[in-house]
Amino acid sequence: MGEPPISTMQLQALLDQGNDQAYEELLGLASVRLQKLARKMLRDFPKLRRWEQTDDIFQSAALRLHRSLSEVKPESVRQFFGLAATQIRRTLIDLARHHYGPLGQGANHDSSPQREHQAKADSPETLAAWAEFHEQVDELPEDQREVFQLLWYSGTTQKEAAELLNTSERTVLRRYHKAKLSLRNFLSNNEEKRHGHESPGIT
Amino acid sequence: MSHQELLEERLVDWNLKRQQGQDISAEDLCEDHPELVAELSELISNLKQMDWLESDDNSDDYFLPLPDVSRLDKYAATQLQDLNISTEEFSQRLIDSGLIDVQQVRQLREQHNSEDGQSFAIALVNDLKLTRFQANVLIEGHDHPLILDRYLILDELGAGGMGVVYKALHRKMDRIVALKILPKAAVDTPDKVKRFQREVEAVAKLEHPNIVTAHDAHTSKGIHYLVMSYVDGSDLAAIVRKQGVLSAKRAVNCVAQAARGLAHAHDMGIIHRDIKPGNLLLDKQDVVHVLDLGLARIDDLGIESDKEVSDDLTHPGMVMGTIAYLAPEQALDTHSADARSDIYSLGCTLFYLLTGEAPYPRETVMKTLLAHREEAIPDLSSKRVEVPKELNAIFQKMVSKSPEDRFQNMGEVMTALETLEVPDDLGVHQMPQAVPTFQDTDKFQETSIEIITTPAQTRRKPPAKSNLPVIAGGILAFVILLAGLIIKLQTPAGTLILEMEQPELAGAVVMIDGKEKVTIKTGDGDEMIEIKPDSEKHVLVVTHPDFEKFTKKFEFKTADDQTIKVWLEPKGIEEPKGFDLAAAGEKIKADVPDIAVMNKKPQEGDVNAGNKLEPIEDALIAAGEGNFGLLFDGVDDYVDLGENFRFNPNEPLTLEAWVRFDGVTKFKHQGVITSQPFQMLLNDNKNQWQVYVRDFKFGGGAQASLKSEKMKLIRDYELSVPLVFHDQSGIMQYLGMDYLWKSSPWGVLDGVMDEVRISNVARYDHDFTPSTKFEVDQHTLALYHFDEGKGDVLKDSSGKGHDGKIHGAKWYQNGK
Repeated sequence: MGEPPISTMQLQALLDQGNDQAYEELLGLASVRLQKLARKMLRDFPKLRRWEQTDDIFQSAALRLHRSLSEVKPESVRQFFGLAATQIRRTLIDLARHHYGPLGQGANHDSSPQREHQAKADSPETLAAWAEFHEQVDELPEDQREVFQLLWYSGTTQKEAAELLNTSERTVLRRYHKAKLSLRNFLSNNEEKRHGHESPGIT
Repeated sequence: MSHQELLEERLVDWNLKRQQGQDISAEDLCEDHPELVAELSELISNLKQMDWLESDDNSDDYFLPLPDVSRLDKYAATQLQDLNISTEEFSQRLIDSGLIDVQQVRQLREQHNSEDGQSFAIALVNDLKLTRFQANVLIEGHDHPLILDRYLILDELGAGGMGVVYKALHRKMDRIVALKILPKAAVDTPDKVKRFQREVEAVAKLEHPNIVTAHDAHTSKGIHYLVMSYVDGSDLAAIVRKQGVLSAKRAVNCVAQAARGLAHAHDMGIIHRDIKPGNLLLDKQDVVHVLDLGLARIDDLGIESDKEVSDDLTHPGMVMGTIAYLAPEQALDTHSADARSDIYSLGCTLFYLLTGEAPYPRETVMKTLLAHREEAIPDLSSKRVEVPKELNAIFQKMVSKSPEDRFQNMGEVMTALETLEVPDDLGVHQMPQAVPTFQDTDKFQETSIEIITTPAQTRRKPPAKSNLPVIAGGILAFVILLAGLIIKLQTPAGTLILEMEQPELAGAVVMIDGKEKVTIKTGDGDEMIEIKPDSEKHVLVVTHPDFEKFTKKFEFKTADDQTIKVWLEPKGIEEPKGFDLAAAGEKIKADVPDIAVMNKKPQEGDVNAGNKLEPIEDALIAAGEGNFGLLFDGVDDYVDLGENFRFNPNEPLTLEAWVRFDGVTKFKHQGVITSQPFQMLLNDNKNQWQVYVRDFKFGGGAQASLKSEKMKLIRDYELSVPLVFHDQSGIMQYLGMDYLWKSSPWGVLDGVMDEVRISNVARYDHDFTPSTKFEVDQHTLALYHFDEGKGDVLKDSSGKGHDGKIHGAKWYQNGK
C-alpha cells in the first residue's frame, strides 16, 4: 500500500477549509490506486498485455472513475474513499468483464512457472474469477467491507484507516483479517468446488 | 474473552509483529493458550495465502498508463454549461444537429425522463451518446456544426495558427481524424478559396512518417476545413511543461525525426515557417509528427489580403509563441524564409527541449526579435552540463544569425544529429513517453457508433501501420481492399455522389449522357456531380485507360442526393509475372519495391491446371481424401470470428489459406477470404489471374497478373509509416465475407475453404512449398483445420480461443 503524499488528516483539514487541492489530491490518489489494482489484476494475462487496446480500455475506465467521482463533492475523506473504493471496484469488474467475454482476449490465465510455485488460493485464476472476487467484496459485512475497501481499494494505511474510522489500528487489522479470510475462503471454495475441500475461517 | 476473540487478538499480534519484520510462530503466540496453536497456525497459513493482495506490482511503467491527469482535470472542470433549457428545446436541437434521429431521441427521453434539457444532456454524456463538447454546443445553441459531411465532430483539440482543430470521426470508415476549420474571413472570396486549395493540394502530397498529413480540403455548409491525420499524442511543448526537459539523447532523437519530416517537405518545395515545440507532436510510439506543414503559408494568404484575418492571427500569445523560434531573416520578411529558416527554428526548438526555454526569452516581441538578430547565441553546454560539446556545436550552427552559416539543408542536420553519439542519461532526466492524451471522446467512439452514426455496421479498424506479408497457397489471390478518403463538395442542388474506393482510378473521366462532367482526382472517396432533377433517364460512364468502361443507368427525379457505387474492372495485363504498380499509388511505387510474386515450387500431386479456371480440389487435397472443408454459397455465408479477434498492425501478419474459388466461373471478381483489412480478391480477366492488393493507409494498391494459379503474393511494407489512425488495433472478424462488400459478388466467397492459419510473423520471404496442414506455433494467432465436419462451430486449434461461428456455410467432404 503506497503512502499518500499528503496524510488523510491533512486532506480532511483541507477539505474542511473548502480547499480544492484536497479534492484534486484525492482524485489523483484514486486514479493511481485504480492503476495499481488493474495492473495487479491484469498482469497475469499476457495476452492482454500484448493487446494495445487494453491500454485504451483502461484509460476509458480511468476516465469513468474520474467522472463519477467528480460529480459528487464529498464532505469527508472517509466518504470520498468509500465512494472511490466502490467505483474502483466497479471499474475493475467492468475491466475484467470486458476482457473475459466469450472471445475475450484474456479469458484464460497464463500459467507461467513463476505462478505455479506460488501457494494455492492465489489471486483469482481467471478474469471471470477476478470479477467474482470484486463482487464478493460487496457481500462482506459492513465493518469488514469498509476496512477492506479503505486498505485495499483506496490504499490507505492501517493508521489512516483507523483515524478515518475513529477506531484503533488493532480493530482495523481485526476486521481486515476477517475480510481477507472470508475472501480467501470464497476463492478457494470456488477453485475447489471440483475437489471438495472446506477451509476454516473466523466467522 | 471468547475463544474466537482470543484467536482474533493473537492473529492481530502476529500481523503487527510481521509488519515489523518478525516472523513469530503460533506456538510463541499461544504460550498461555496451547489449545489455540493448531487453529491459529491454520489461520496464519490461510492469511498468508492472501499475501498477493499486498504484493508489489512488478509491472513496467508502460503497462496501463494513467490518463494525463491535468487533461482529466480540465475535463472534469469543463462541466456542462449551466443554461436554462427545456428538455423539449434540447431534444429539438439534438435532432436538428443530425447527431441522433427523432426516434432515438424519443427513446432516450423516455429512458431518462429528465426534468430539464441540461439533465438530459448530462445523462446523454454519461451514457456516451454525446461528447461533452457536443452537449455544450447544443446547450449553448450556437450554430457550430457537429456534422460536416461524413465527419462527426467529437471534440475540440485546440486552436492553432489558422483556425480551430477538432477531433472528428469519419462515420463510414470509423476513423478518427483531425479537422481544422478555417476562419471564414480567410476564405471569404473565391480567389482566396482557390489559393487555399492550391496550397492544400501541395501539402497533401506530403506523405512521411514524421509529418501530420493534411489529406484534403473540403467545403461543407459554407465551412472550409482541412482533414488531417489524427495523432494520439502530445506536443513537445506540453511534454516539457509537464515532465520537464528532455534528456540529451531524447531531444536529439526528437529533433532528428522532425528534421527527417521537414527534409521531405523541403524536397517537395514546402517550407514550414512556423517550427516550434508546439508544432511537433509525439505519439505513443515515440514518433514525432510535424504539424501544420504548409499552413503558415496559408496564413499569409489571409494576412496579405485581409485585415480582419490578420488581426485574428496576431493575438499576442500566438505571436510570442512563434517569435521565440523565428529566424532573423524571416522576421524581416516572411517571404525570405527558406529551408534554412526552418533549420533555425528547429535549432531553437532543440534548445527548448533541453532547457525548458526558448533561446532568447524576452518580455516584448521587439526585444525578442532583436535578440535573435543581435545577441550572442546562448551556450547549450553551459545551460545543461551533460549536453556534449558536439551537440552544442550542432545547435550553434543551426541557429547561426546568417543563413549562409547554418546547415544548408535538413539532410545535413539529420546527418549531424544521427552521427552524434549521445550517452544515455543517468536517470537524471526521465525520458518522457508520449503523454497519453485523454478525451471523453475515446470511449464515445467505441460505444456509440452503432447508435449514432452507422447503425448497421460493425466496427472495423484500419491498421495503424501496415507491415503485411500476405501469402496464399493453392489458387489464391488477394486484395487488401479498404476504403479511402471521402471528398465531398456539397451543393445546394441535387448531388450525384459517386462512391469510389479505387485510388488507382485517379484521372478517370466521368461522363453523363455523353458529356464530360469531371475528372476523378483520387478515386479514393466520393466525387460529387451537381444535377438538376428531371424525369429523364441518364447514363453514367466512367472511363480510364487501364480499366474496363463502367456504365450505369440512373434517374434523378428529386433534388436529393443519390449515390452510385463505381467499380471499374481492370484490364488484363500482358506481362505474366511482373507486378504492375502503375495503378498503385505513387508512394507505394516509390517506397515499396519488395512486392514480389513467387511461383510455388512444383511438387508431386500438384494440380496442373494451367490457365483453365475450373475449380480444382487443392483446398481439399490439402488435407487428404475424405477431409472436410466448408462450402460457402457466395450469397451470405460466412464465419464470424468475433470482433475480439484483433491483431497488432505493428507486427507482421501472414495469412495462409487453402481455398477453392468456384465463383470465378460466374463472376469476374471472386474470392474473399477474410474481411477487412484483408479482403482478398481473385479476378479472372482474359484468362489470366489477377491479384489485387490495396490498402487504406497508402491509398494505393498493387496488382499482379499471373498465368499460373499456383502462386503466392508477398506484400511487405518495410516502411515506417505515419500512424494515422487513432486506434491501433485491427480486427479480422469474418472468414468468407467482407462486411463492406457483402452485397457484392466479390464480397462473399463462393467456394470451399480448408486450413487457415493467421500468424503475427512474416513466414515467407522466398519461394516455398505450401504446407498442406499448418501447425500451431508461438506466432500463430489462429489456426483452423476445418476438420469438425458438423455443427456450427469452426474450432480454433491455436489455443487462442478464437472459435468461429458458422453462418450458413455447409460442411463439405472431399470426394463425397
